[in-house]
Amino acid sequence: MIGLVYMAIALPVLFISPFAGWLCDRSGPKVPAAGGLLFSVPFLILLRLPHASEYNQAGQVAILCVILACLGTTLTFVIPPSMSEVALVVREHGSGEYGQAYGLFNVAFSGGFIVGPLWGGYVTQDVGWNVMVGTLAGLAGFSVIPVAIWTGGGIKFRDLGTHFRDAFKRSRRSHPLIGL
Amino acid sequence: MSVGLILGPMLGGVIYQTHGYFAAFGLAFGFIGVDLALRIILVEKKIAIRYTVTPLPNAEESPSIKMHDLPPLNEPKVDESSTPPSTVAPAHNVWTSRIPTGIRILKYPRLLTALFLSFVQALILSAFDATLPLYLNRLFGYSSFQSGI
Repeated sequence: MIGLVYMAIALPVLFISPFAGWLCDRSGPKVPAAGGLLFSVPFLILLRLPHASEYNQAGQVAILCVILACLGTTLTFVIPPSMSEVALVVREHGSGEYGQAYGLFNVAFSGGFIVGPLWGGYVTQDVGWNVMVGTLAGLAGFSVIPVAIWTGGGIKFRDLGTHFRDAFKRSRRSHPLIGL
Repeated sequence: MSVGLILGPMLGGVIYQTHGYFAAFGLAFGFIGVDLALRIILVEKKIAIRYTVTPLPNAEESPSIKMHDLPPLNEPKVDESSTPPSTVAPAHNVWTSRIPTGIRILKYPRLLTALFLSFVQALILSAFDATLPLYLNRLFGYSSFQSGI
């Protein structure tokens, strides 16, 4: 059953990742990265909903799986921008040192994989699951700020609304399914 | 990559349950072996260039030499054709080339943001890796071996 619960996160990644990559190339990395993080906040907070139940356990597991699937979907849109952004910076400021760039990316990614279990483990142990998912929501919400400012090249705060609107329009126009 | 990281616990759990402790490690070593073989087969781009067409720089130089031979009517064109090499050259001066690009590009907030983004994303995913089985155990009484799907 635990395997099934993990599948709830993994399956959206498996199927939506190509679309997320396409969107990242089309509208620039800023919109999917900031949007994915922003929309992951409510689902991280909602993870406190499932509770132990004597008579309707399957329903609670289903709720958990649905929330996790939504969370997996939102986080899927964060992965392609974070990878392509590193390569884009090297293309702009370096002379093709993609190996070093990917090394840096792996440092950050592994750092997250070291801190994540410690964070999750200690906070869950000390103050409980609800607070733990709350702190993760806070982290995701906070990281929207630097992403909105710097990802995809720095923009001025004045232009923020226009930028998002234009990128959304561009992605609407160019995709046959969204632009109905 | 993330699919692998998420499917890892699931696959490991299933194999641990069905084939035992050493089979789980055997699978990991098998994957490492496949990875190693693929890396050996892979040809680096710089080495591949050696075997492909080499006279690119000569082909670029010969028209520029002809441009220089032309009368000074085409002077702006000659300048344009000669500027790209001169702008590329200062980037490789002694001071900057001594610092590896991987460290030099760390000064750009755009790159730091991208690294922070991957850090956050890995943190969120791995936090669930560690706590989800315990949470399910506390909430629904699932044991860690109850991973039969």
